[in-house]
Amino acid sequence: MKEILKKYYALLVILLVYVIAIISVVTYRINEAPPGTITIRISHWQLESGVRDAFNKLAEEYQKLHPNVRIIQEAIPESVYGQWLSTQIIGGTAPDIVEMGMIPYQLMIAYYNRYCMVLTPYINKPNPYNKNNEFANVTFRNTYRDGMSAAYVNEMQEFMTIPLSAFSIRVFYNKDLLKKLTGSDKIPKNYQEFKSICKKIAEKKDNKGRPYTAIVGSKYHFGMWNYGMADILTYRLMEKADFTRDAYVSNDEFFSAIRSGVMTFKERPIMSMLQVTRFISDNCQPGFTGLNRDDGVLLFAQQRAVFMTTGTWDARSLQQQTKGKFELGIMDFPIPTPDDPEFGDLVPGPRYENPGVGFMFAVNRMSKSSETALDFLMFLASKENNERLNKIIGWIPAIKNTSMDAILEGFEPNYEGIYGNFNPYLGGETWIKWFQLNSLYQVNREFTAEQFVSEFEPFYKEKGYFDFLEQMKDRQRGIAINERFLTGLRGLALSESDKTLADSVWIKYRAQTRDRQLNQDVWIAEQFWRVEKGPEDKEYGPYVHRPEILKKAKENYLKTKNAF
Amino acid sequence: MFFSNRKKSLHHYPIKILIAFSLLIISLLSSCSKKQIKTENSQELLSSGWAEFRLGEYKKAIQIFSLVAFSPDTDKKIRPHALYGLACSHWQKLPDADKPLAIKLFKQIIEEYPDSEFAVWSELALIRMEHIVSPGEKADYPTLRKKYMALFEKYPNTLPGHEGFVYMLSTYIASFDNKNDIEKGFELADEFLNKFPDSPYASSIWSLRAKACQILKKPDEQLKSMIMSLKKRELDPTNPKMENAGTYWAIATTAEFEVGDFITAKKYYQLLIDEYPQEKRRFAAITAIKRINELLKKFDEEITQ
Repeated sequence: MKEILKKYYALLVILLVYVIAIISVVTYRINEAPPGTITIRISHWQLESGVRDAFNKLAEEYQKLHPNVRIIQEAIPESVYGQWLSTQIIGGTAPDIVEMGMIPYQLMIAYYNRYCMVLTPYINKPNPYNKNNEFANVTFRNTYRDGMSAAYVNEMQEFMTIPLSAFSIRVFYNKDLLKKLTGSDKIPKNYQEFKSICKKIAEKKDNKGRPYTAIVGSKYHFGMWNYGMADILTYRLMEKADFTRDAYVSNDEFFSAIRSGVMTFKERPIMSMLQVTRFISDNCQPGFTGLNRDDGVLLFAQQRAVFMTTGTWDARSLQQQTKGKFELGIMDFPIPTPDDPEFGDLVPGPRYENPGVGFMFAVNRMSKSSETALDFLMFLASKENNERLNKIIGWIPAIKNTSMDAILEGFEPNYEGIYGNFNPYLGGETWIKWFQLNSLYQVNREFTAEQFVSEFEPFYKEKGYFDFLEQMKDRQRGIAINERFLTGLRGLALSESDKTLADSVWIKYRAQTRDRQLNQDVWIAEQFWRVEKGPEDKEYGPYVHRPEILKKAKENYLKTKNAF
Repeated sequence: MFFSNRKKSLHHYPIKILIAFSLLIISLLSSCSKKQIKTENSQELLSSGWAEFRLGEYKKAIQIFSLVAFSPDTDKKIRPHALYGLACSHWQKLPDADKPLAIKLFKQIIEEYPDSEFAVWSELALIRMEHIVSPGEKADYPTLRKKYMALFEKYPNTLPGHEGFVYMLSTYIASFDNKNDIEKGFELADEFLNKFPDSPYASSIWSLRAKACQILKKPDEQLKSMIMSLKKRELDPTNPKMENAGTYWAIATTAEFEVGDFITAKKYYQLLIDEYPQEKRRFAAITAIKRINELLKKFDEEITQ
């Protein structure tokens, strides 16, 4: 025995350590999840403050209702989330619930198809966790702000995820610095007030002699400023170029309008948009185009800039970062109002805003506890719990009739307003040219808006047609893709033995055939017709009453006056 | 001792052991697969074949459809379905579609199972293969029209027959420059709608008729066709992205700017406002109603004067 001990001493020590390790792991697991416990793992990339706390808090409450369930979250940094998710999913070790994203869209569709649970059967029934509120008899999808549209995957014709939050973009500002630099804590309500405040800020310097910055700019922030303040000035372009009268100017309509001379880049809406772009860039810190998101946030946190735009997803983090340093305020974009002396005629209403619903989770089809995983998601998406979850995080709930965190209050979305109609993006060379000139325009004050459009327009007219042809080829490629999709759907309908289910799939098939494929030849021919021949009526825009129509309308009115 | 002996014995018989082990694995695998073919229901296999097709796993789909199509045990009713799945997979597989083989299989279905619904779908597929051309190329519309029409006339009461008819009609309407084609399309649409007012594709035919009217400058008929297209439109109730907001807007603006029918225009602007409170065009619809009301007020003033 002694000999054996001597001979295998090292081996036995290793064995002993191994046994101790096993015992400690098993003990830990038993304490954490006693036998019979269902463990649900949930993965996401939200490292923003509050998200993990919110999940832990709601998991605790869920465990009170379901003592045999344990919820464990895995927060993975967004920079590696895509690779991590792919590895886990393909390796068959993905968590029971996964936040979907950070991977190319086509890959996501493939993952939905192969590895995620189809949620459609549950979406059209009430959420059982809403049994004590006004949604007790309302289908789950109709409790959502967007009717759960974001969760519907068109390529699969199924609901695949459960969204938990909504997002929109706002302007965040330093209340203390605003008061210090302008002498007032009054926030700008419109473009003119904003202009005057930015001017005052630009005149002030800190104790080191450095100028203050009014607007935080960076590669990340500038696009949002432009989207929020400048784009909307092009709303009225639809009065000239919306030839199909669908209330949007598509890129082929835009090109056709420019090519035929019905519209030029010197139209007031476009020049005004560029004017506001210049105003924003003039009030950003020097060299902002080379900076990234963190550089911009740093300037704001160091109290050297007053206004910064970002999504409501950053609200809680910003609040915590600035706590004790300065008071954080949130306001809407100070856009021109209809009485604005410069741009009033271009802005007939407020800015349209429909917050996107996101923070979407899918259930792993391979999970042993997929039903429990789904149940936990439905718990999080019930009215009261969704409100609680989002209040802790500082985000907007995805469910209707919910209140939000105090910091976001007063920023209910505005569904009645105007939107941008500037759409010269045909792709290829014209897009690159626009991008290059726009970058130059943002940094070089001597490069005027007139020079910008004078240089771009001839190029756009000449090269745009080739980009358009490429776009049409893509559209033709799309027909073959659609045919494949429809064949798959037809196969599903043909192989369904349950008549009710087969009928439902046939409805999908016919609706998709109608909307995607039957009219493709006409749509393509019409786009070519429009681009090559220009609009039929060059005298009257699409939203102008021609005299003969007014005459006819008057006659009709006389005939049917009582109907009004 | 034990280890060294074992090592020796293994060293002596490596090839024999390897062969025995391989035979064992092969026999196990083959018995499993035989068992699978016998026990699996052919219908279930077809469903899984289509599932693989939708996943883009064409090789697997071909394997499954072939298994069902060429197995002697397969029911005669099931076989055309399996052949159809196989033909579709060869036609549409990526990256290397095998169109000649697909054509052969579609023709085989038509020849061997002329009364099967798969024969009609196969005939439609053969025309679609000619219709879908490479980017930059133009399809041969006159030939396609004849083929689609022949299919429709042969199977006038089937879904693929009606689908073929719509594809044919769209080739007429797509000839924007050629008024004769547009007029022919207009006539064909009317004939079809008289015979099959409740076809599942009636909405598409009305919509194409509306487009023909727009080109032929018949605004009243255009508006009527748009409204009929909406009435006949089949909505997938499970799809939240399928809605009527765009159609309401199109009808309203056609009524207002092409027909001068302000009653209809107001009605459809209002439907958009009421049914789609989050719609982007809501503000524009509200503005339009105000604009119409002002015009009507002006008409009233002119009448009083």
